[in-house]
Amino acid sequence: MTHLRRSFFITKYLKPWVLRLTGKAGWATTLHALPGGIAPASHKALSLQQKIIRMPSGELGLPAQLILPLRQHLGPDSALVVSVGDYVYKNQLIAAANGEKGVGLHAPSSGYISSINYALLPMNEAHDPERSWQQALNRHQTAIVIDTDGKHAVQPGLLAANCDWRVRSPDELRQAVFDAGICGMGGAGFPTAIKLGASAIKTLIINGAECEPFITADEALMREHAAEVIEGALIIQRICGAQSCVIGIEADKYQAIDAIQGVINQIMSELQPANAGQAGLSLTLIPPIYPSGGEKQLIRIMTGIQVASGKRPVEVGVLCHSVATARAVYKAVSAGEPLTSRITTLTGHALKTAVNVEVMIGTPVSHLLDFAGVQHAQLQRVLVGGPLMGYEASDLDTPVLKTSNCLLAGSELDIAPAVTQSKPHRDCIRCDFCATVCPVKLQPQTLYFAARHQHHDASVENGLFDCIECGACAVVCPSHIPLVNYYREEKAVIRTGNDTAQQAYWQSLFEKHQQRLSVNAIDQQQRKLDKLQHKLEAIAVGEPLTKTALTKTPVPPVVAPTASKSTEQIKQEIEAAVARTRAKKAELQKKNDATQDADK
Amino acid sequence: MNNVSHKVSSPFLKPVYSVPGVMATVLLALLPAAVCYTWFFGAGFLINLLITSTLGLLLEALVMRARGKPVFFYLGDLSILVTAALLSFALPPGSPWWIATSGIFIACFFGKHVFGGLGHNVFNPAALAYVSLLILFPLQMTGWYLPGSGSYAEAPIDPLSAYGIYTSLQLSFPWLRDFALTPFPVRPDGFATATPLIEYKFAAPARILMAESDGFTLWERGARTGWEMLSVSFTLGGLFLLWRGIISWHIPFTVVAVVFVLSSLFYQPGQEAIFGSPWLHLFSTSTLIGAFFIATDPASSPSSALGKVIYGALIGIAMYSIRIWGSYLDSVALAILAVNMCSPLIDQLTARTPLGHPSRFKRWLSAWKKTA
Repeated sequence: MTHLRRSFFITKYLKPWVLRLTGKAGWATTLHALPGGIAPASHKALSLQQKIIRMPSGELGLPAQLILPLRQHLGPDSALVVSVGDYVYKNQLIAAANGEKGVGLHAPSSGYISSINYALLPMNEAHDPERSWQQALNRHQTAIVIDTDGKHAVQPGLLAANCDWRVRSPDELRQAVFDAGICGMGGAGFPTAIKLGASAIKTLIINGAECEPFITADEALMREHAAEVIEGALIIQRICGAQSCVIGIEADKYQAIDAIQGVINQIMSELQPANAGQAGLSLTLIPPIYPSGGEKQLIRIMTGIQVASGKRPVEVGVLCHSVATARAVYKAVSAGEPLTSRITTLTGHALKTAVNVEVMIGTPVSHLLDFAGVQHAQLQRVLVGGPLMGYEASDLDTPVLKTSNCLLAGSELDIAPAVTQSKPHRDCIRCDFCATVCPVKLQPQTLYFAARHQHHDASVENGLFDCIECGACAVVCPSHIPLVNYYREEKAVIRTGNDTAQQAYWQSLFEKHQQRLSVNAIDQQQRKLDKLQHKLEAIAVGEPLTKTALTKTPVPPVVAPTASKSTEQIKQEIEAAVARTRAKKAELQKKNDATQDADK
Repeated sequence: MNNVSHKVSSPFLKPVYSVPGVMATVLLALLPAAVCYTWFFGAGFLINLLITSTLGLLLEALVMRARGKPVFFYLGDLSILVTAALLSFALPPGSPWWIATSGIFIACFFGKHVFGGLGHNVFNPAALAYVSLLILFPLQMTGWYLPGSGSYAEAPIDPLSAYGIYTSLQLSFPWLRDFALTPFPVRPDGFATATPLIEYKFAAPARILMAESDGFTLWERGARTGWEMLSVSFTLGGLFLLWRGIISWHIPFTVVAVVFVLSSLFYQPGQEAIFGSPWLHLFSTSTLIGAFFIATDPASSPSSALGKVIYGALIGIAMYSIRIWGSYLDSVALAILAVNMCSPLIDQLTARTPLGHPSRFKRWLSAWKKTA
């Protein structure tokens, strides 16, 4: 029951301390402990049995369709540059970056564009609007669909840029990163080129922490492509002009550490002894505690700098990139390859083989699950991302995005069972477990009470917007309160309340609705008139009037006053009704015109 | 009702703790003390425990029914059993059945559900019930009638023999005395009141000193050593809770430290009758059950670490002060109730500063500059 806390003390404090005292290489001297955090069972060995499997290979074929949402990053949607029926080659630009802050989108494989407005099913959760790719999915985001032809053909005549990055200027390199459509691959999807444009960077941190259970994409990458990661880190260092470049890796990733250390040693030995000190390339081991891989958390652990609330780390001269981003930068700069594939972990006890795969962006989740042999009997649900910060793929055609580092086909062993109906949780007993694990030093129970009772001021005062939604508090809550859900809802409510544009949007929707209602009312009167006219004609011809023809609701035959009326009387009544309806319609028409004039 | 109206989103990891689990751990931690208590003071404790637990569950079910909540879901949190167990430790083992009955009634209604149930209570229900009983029935709450103890020197009874258990039953249910085989001697025990300090203060310092000079044989049945062994078993239970991560060290450590420091400060050899020795303050009284089990009640204590330290220190000071300079019979429950009232304020004043925000000191400084 207490594995979270008992092993925790040892992993977090004791082991780093002892190792540092004994002078074990790699442990940073300025290591600052992360406040709080948890040490859940990592389950990482599951997907590290095999090497990375590349996508177009004998084992893992291309999917029939690639689904590429126009927004996989933080920022404006990319602008379409292709239309339905076009043939696209691999690495061809299919949606251009929308302005400076945008990110381009490239075709991962060759084939015909079959759709440019494929509607992704919305995620069924209230997500934090700041994580815009999730929000984008929320809004029936459109995507480009490529029917792959299996040739995986590169555009003929396209020469790969292949010159040494050391001779190119930082601006040129940054442009290459921008052209490659790279965004942060750790989860937030912030456009990398913008981050690289920051000035006065002192320290570059390459994030190889990967603290979430199950995910091993970065670890596998560092094991097998350590040289590319380091090269990418050096390119980033050249672009941003940082004096030192530190690679932070969790201390339990032994093979990755060895691989990275080997490459660093090699680079250092190749350098002239006089320059060796200047390269500033080093490796730091950090205690394997969740969530030490968060950007601000890692910066605090490795440099001791507290990034002020609401500010970005670049403002204090620290730049943080994940190892996956570093490798993407390397590929973009050295080979001119845009970001069209990424390493994703396929894991979970519902899979026959858990493995890391290098997949095309846009591959549907179902294709990968079929490859890994999903056992539906054991499958609880499929998560994109880890069990603590991921989201549920309610639709298995959800594609792999530039930010998807893991697909977790969770069995009962891995994750809480799927909730089919609303389930009560117990009252907060104020046990304070949540506060002891919060990495931002919030008081989650105070926030919970504020959010629960919609005390927006109290929520903001207590640091609601500093919450990184890591989920540690909800995992240790003995009352099983979905704390993060409450925070997300409260954030959404506060944001919507503050956002006048959002309000105006809803107001316009409401007005449109009202107008549609008034038009409907006029139409209704017209239909009534038509009906009466039809009846008059019927009388003129001399047809017998049936009850059903006269009235919509059948009148009981016993009390049928119309039966005793003469045709003349009926005719008069109908004409009176016609006059009434005409008057009403005219009145509605007038009212509608008046409101429309007022709108104009 | 706490229905999750939204679809559940991340985190998807299985929760690690549960309220029934936490409460069961606390019950487990009380087990050594329960064994010890029964060993030294007879089956009266078990009778009290039986009454408080059964009635507690029944009352809780009734209240939940009246509040329109799912009965078994809320009974399942086991919190009423913890309250019942803690209350039973505070009741004299030989008290009549209606003491335990009214105690659990007060704890359940006025301690807990008047405020809105588990997690909303301002006072610790067990402490509140104990203090209420002490005020309502001072005679029954302070007279300890034990089947086997020092005052039965002429005819000592083994409290756990059949006769001893029958005597305990007779003490709890007075009508059983009609079926007694031998005339029943009802005499209070001079040693074993809730706090032997009362003895120091008012009645028989000489007797206690005499007992101490006899030398302690820890396993000897009798009230002389009973309290020490009980305190040791409460400490064991408390350490178990610390190890399981159910309580944090802040409150018990500060309470014990403050009581120890104060009692050492005022201790003068030869003046035990007035101030008591540190050993007596810690181990011959209910300080340790208070420090480990009652003061740490999460609902009625502050939540931040600093708040907990302040809360613990206040309890320690109040405990010692009431014991030495106050005129009330028990100090631990009173001290805890008094400081419980302060905990919302302590909570407000010691709220943690989230990372990336100016520290508390800086905020005070800027506020002070503004006013100046």
